[in-house]
Amino acid sequence: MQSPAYYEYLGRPKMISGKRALEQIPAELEGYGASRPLVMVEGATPGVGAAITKAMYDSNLVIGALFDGHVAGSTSGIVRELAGLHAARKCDSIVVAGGGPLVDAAKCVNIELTQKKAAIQFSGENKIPKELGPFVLVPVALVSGYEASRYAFIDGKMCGSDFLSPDMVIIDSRASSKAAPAQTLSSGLIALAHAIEAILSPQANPIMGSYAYAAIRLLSENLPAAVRKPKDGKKSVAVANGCAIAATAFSNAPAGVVHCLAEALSDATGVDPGVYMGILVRSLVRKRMEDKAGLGDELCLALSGPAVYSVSEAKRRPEAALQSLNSVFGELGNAVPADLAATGTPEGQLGPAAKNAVKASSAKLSEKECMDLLERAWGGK
Amino acid sequence: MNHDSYPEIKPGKKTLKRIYIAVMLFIVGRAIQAACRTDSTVKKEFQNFKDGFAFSLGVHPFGPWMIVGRDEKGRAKYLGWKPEGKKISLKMNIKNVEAAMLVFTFMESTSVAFARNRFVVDGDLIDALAIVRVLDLVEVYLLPKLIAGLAVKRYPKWSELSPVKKHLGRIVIYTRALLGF
Amino acid sequence: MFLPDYYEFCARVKTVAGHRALDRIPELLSSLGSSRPMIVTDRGVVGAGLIKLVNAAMKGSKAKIGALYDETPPDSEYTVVNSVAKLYRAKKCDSILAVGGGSVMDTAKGVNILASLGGSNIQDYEGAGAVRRKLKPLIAIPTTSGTGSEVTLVAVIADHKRKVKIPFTSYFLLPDIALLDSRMTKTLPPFLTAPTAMDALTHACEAYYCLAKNPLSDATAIAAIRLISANLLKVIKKPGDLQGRLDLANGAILAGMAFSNSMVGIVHNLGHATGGVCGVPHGVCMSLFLPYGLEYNLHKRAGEIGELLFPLAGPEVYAATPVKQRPEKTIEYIRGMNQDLHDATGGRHARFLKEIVDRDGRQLVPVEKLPEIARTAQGDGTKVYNPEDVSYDDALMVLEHAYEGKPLDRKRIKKG
Repeated sequence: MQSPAYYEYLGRPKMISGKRALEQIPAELEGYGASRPLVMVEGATPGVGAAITKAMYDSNLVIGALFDGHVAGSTSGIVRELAGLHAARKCDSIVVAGGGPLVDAAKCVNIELTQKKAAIQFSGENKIPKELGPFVLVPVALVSGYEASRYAFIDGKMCGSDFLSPDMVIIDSRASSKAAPAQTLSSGLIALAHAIEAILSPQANPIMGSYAYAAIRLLSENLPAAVRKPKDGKKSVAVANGCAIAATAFSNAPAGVVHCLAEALSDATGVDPGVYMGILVRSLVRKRMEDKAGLGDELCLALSGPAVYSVSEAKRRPEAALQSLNSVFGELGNAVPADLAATGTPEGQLGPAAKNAVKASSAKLSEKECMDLLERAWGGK
Repeated sequence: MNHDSYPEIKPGKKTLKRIYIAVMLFIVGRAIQAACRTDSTVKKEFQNFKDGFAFSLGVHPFGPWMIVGRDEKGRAKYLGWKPEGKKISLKMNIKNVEAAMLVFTFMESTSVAFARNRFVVDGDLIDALAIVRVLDLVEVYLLPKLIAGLAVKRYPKWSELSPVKKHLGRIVIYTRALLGF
Repeated sequence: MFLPDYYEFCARVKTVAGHRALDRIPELLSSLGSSRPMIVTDRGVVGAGLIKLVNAAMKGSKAKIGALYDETPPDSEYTVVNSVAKLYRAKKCDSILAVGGGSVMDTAKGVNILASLGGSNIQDYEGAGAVRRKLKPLIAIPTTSGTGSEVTLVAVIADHKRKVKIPFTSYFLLPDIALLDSRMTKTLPPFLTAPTAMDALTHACEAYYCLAKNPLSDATAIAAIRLISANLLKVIKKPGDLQGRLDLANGAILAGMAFSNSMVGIVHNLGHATGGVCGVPHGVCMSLFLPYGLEYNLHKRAGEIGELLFPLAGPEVYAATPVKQRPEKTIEYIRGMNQDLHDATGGRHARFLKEIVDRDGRQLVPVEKLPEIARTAQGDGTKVYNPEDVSYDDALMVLEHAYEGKPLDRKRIKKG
């Protein structure tokens, strides 16, 4: 392990996880001088709103408004309406329990309230000039992989800013165990892919590596069981931890080839990006093993864990790492298709996806590299 | 958007749990007073506090609390459950009712609760540590070994606290705590 | 990966690290909205030419250094904090560059409280929840690897009149940026490199077995131990090894992240007390007490202590050592490190209490002081986080062994 010549890293969210974590929200918000949050929950996920409400009992906090409508997408329209609700009830903070577009919308509400301008005006990188209001994320399933990161989407455009990272991520089984198995699976695969790509990233550094290591270990050890038994509180908390930690690593690394291709494919076909990420990241690992670059010690250690890593002879460590990864997918079974072809994606989509991935990426991906990976993943190699 | 569909919610109360905690705090408060007269270690700890020292242990923000002070003779005195109007040098607040339940149902020992940031301590940390030591000892007296073992880091061995001393002490402390002297 | 029933983790400090990281200062100040930083440092740092490097980095920047305070004492003290805050205001500064070790960091954090929240006496901010707003910008530039103070939310400030050390704790005390530049530790002499690196190693080891351990504190602790273990002796033998210095600096910041969230135990407990009573530098206490801390907690944390062998000694040694023997091997390895450092520093790195001497060769820890140290340890907060109880008698027992350098008599450990 060697430090790179230069790097930057920021892990903004405070992680609070476990027994009675939700009950910590009032005291934590008090630390920010806030006591009147707008609470946003997924209408379709029963019980989360009630759990949060009950957790606020006997505190100084008043829920300014409990929003439990359905947010299909983070649009300027819905964001404006929610900001209006926030302002009308004189809220001073936001607590969002859920994932995907609900969280995007919540983050954009935060932008509009603090900057007093439409969130779309802040799309792009680092356009937000100052701190936003206190923002609490309670994961149910982090289905987009962006929820706990420094990104948010508005009208299909991305905003990137350190100020968009949640101030705290509160992981409690009363919320995380309400996720549907498909959501848990998707969130876990996205997080796994993000964490692996973080370690392989040109911006890799010891701090990011630690976060990615923690995420990969938590997910490898808990994702299959959490998918099989979604009501298992401990497993769902472990997966939520892995996802939130991976999102922090992801915030610090430019999006890798797996991420960009998966997003491009998903945009075109509507298939869950998590499924694509799962298939592509396996192919990426296999590809790297054959490359001169190899997997690298850090990835081998993260995938295998110290026990397996240390008993493997040095030159066999990449194989052992791939075996460990394969066994995770093995336990996930039919939930993840073996190759791209099995997802029902038309082969003709691969070329355009490669082009779109190159366009969207900030990491100077090459079309050849993208097509190579897609072709491997097509055949399940 | 119809704002009325999304109501404001004022938090309710967890009355039963607060009653339970209040009772436990009362017992512990009176037990500390009694233990100070019965156990030499607790007595020594209280003599080391400054004259007029008083600490409160309770739940943020609305209580319940218990307050124990040190009188001029260096003895612990249970001062009731109302912090208003009292000069409290050390406030040990558990952040919320649920966290307090974890402590008072012995699912989290005092040390683990501290380590997990469940407490907010306002005052001298050295004094707070002395109170944690006192609480540990009082719990050993009040609780059967099976439960006390969960609440403290190290259950005292025979050589430090003989069963005779412990059981006798337990009887005396309970009696004194309930009768208030 | 161990996932506890409950944990909290916060390391909300932006890390900027590299061989020429200082060059980024103008841009970083601008991003924080600052144009008139104050430098808080000490004479040693100035003498090592490090402030010259900072000034050079500021050349051509729109921001200008508003003030320089270079008399921070070895122990952060409240009258110093008050007067530096006065200077900050007088010179209309709007941020702080803290360049130095633990004491400079703590002083800078204290100054930042006053400078941001108003008032003239830092003691007005004692007590929980006193600091509840974001403070003015603070960039921490450590010159040792190190205390990890660049990522901790605590500032320990002494009151010499009351003879106490007050910990100020708040997430708002975290620096905005921790800037690690390999040039800042390049000239640190071996006899200082050793204890400061062992301080970091101790942070990471204690974080791994203490009560609040969690996945992130574990992952950062392991990475820290790997970096420090692989580079410490290398750098002692070749102080100009910039890559090694950067690796140690990264190890120290990772260790800081680990222990500030997982807390520390008996090693720090006894170390703080020894430092307080006998004036022994913190890092010296840490390296010496670490093997004893591991032995003391062995009956409660054998698994974790065994797992430490992996980052300490590497995968081959780890695999070759049967699981049951790993804890002992870890303890042996640390003792070995202390011995190697002792040899490499020409005897200046102390292996046990009796060996610690001041610049004039006088013994710093006389045996008569051991009871006082044990008593002082009772009042130190870190006791709470140790897996096993440490009473006065326990502390004295460990101190007596650490005095002579004898391994702990395991039979005398009272097991809970």
